[in-house]
Parts: sequence; structure tokens; C-alpha cells
Amino acid sequence: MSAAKKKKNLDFLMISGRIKSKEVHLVSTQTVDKLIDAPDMAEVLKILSEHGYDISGLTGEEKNLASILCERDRAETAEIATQAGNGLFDCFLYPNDYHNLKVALKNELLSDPRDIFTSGGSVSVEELRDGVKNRDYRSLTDMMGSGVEEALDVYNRTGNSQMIDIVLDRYCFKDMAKAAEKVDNEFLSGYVRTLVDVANVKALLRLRKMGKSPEFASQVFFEGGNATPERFTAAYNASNEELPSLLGGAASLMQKALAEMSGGNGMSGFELFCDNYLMDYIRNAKYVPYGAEVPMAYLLAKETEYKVISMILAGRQTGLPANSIKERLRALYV
Amino acid sequence: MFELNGIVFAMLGAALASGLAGTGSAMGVGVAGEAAAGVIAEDPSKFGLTLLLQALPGTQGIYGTLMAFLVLNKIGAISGNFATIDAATGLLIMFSCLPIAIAGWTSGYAQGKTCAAGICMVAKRPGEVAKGMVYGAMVETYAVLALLISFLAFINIPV
Repeated sequence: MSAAKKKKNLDFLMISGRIKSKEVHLVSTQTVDKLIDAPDMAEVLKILSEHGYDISGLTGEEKNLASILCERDRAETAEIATQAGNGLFDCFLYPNDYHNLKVALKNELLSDPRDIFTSGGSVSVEELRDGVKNRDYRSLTDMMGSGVEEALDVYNRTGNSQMIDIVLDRYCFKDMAKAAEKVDNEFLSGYVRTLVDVANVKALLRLRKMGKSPEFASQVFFEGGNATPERFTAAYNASNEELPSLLGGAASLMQKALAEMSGGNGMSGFELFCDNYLMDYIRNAKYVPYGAEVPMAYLLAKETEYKVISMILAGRQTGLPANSIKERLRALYV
Repeated sequence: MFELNGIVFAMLGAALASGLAGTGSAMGVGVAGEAAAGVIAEDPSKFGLTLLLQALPGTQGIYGTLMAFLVLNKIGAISGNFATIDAATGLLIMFSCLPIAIAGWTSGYAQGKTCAAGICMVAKRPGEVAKGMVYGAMVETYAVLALLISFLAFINIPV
């Protein structure tokens, strides 16, 4: 066990009470239907404001409407993670940090710099950008610093910008697992293991479809799941029938994923299944009255909500029919 | 060295009844209060509902105080005219205080946790406050039974 004192459920009473109040405002399946069927964008904004989104100054015609709305809300969600436990839930913010690290590195190394940083990380965008620029990683976690160094090294050797993503994703999962270990909560550790399993299953099926070699795939599989990266590498060329049995703790997930893919919905159906699989895990926290699970589930529920809202708004803006939008949507927490 | 007589044991019984049951209530009310404060931080309109649930674990402290008051009255501590009681009688009084002392302490804390869960439920479903109170009241039963036994064991002790 880590040196940090293990927190008990009773240490999360106040934040649990606060979050249970906020859960009432989470976007539900019924709200999703209303958002899709709303006659105009003014109505969409009205519905979102009822769910706590800050719509001040917005007309609904903005090109990046979803990103503005979600970024405004994400800052508040990150504040909850901070209140919940002084760094305890930073691991949920790490994916945003690592996304920002990728953007900062690619902006530096590639010719088309893009301002697609996201707020809601454990480190502010400015600090993170300066840290990468000056190679001064004091404001970042040790793992982030090492990740940037390794990503730079691999990029300089291979010239392949995809390797930046692969290396930083690997460090992201490692950092999350380390942070989860510190909290010493089975729900959180289980979530990180499930997340890694889902990432590995996704990687295996995608890379096989792309015709990549097992040697390349072995660099992509992540540590920290219910099955080791070595198992995934060893099973890489196995037939669909024997693949699940070779994956130990990730067997059931692989079996369901393969069934989903052969169900006729292809890769998009499979992506949807993966996100819903994670949400099923998170929903276990729904009936926990107070404890570390409550803020964790809320933070994850919010991230899914942002994805769903972004999809709905993008679908409306491109004029997709309601049914097509609904097909692509992830399962929500409530 | 003071002479160990029955008064010491009787006083100890009163102190345990009031102190332990009060501690249980304080812990229970504190636990429920923390959850309530979280709810109020987001939705101040739920103050009344959460206060009802927060108050429930406070009763054990009252029961303990009631028992302590009966003991203090019987041994003359309130009037200042202490009765002369032997050690065996003092021990009887002390043991009669233990049910409410122990059950008050543990049930107060347990009730606090139940009420905190009820408060978290009320945050989402304010219409279900009565059900949350019933769950809390189920824990209360055992404090009431302990008070009853303490009272029955104590009331006929001859002083």
C-alpha cells in the first residue's frame, strides 16, 4: 500500500451529497431525444441550460458550439475532482493532460500547428505547454515528463508522428494505474484495468484489420489490464474462434467485441460497444450512496455526456437524420 | 485515597450513559451533517428535508441524558444530598446504564450513516424523504429497546 492514508467512504460524504444533487442535472436518454427532436438551436440551448450548461453569449450558430459548451462545463467538472480529494481523482483528468501533451509535441514537431488543447486536465494548458516547450517538467507528473522524452526520442528515430500517440497513450495508462494505486479503491483500479482491456482489444482488432505485423502491435499494447500485453501479442494471429480463450482476464470482453463486430455494425458499432462496456462498469456506482465511487462515476459520466452532446450537435449541424444520430450515441449514466 | 463506595459506580454509570450515547449521536449527526452540507451546497432549497434526516441520530444522546438524569436524581447528586449506597447497589445502577450507553453509542453512529445515505437519496428524489426517515428509524428501534431495558433494570433498584 502507498504511503498515503487510505480514504474511507465516510471521507467522501460532503462531495457525495454535492454530486448526488448534481446528478439530477445529468443529461438522460429522454433529454437526448429532446435535443435531437428540438425544432431549432434556440430550443437546444434552452434544454442544455436546464442541465447546467453555460449558454451565455451563444446563439446556437457557432461552428464549434459543442466544444465551447463542453469546455465551459469541463472546467467546473475538474473543480469537483479537485474538491473530491486533493489530487485523488487526477487520474480521470490525465487523458486530457496527455491529449494536450500530444498536441503540444505535434505543434512543435509538425508543420501544421493546431490549437486543439482541452481544459479539464490536472495541469493547466499554459503550464503544460510551457513545460513541453522548455523541457521543464516540474509542473507535470514524473510519468508525463518521461513520456514526452520517450515520445521525442522515438519520433526522432522513426520520424513517425503516430508513435507520439502510441508512446503517450502507454504512459497515460501507466500514470492512471499509478494514481489509482494511490487511492487504493477497488472500483477505481477495476475501472483502469477495464479501460486498458478495452484499449488493448480495440488495438488488436483495429491493427489486424489494418494488416499490421505482430511486431508493430507489440509496441501498441498497454500494461495494467486484466491481460498482459504479452498475451495480446501472442494471441495476435489467432483465429476469431480461439482468440478469446487466449486472453485470460480479457476473454469475455473479446468475445463480446467479436460478436458485436460480426453483428453487422462494423467498426463504428464496435467503438460504440466499447464505450458502452465501460459505462456498464461505471453504472455499478449508481447505487453507492456515498464514497469514492460517487465522484469517480460522476466525472466519467460527464465525459460521456460531452461526447454525446458533441455528436448530437455535430449531427444537427450537418443535417443528419434523427435516427442516424441516435445510432451513434453512447449509453449515458442516467 | 478516597473510599470506593456505591456512589462512584452509580456516577460512572450515569457518565457512561450520557457520554457514550452522546458520542454516538455526535458522530451520527456529524456524518449526516456532512452529507447534508454537500447537498445544500448545490441546492439550498433542500435544507428542511436534509435537516429532518440529520436530526434523527441526535435522539440517542437524549436517551443517554435521560438515563443519566434518572441516576443522578436517585443518588441525590442533583439536590446535593448524596444517598449512602453500598458498592453492590452502585454496581447494579452502573450495569443498568450499560444497555443505553453501548446501544446508544453504536446505533447513533450507524443511524448517522443510514441517514447520510438517505440524504444522498433525497438529493436526487426529494419526494422520498419519508422512506429515508423510515430506514433511519429502523436503527432507532434498538436504541429505544436499550433505553427500555436500562429503565426497567434501574427503576426498582432500592436506594
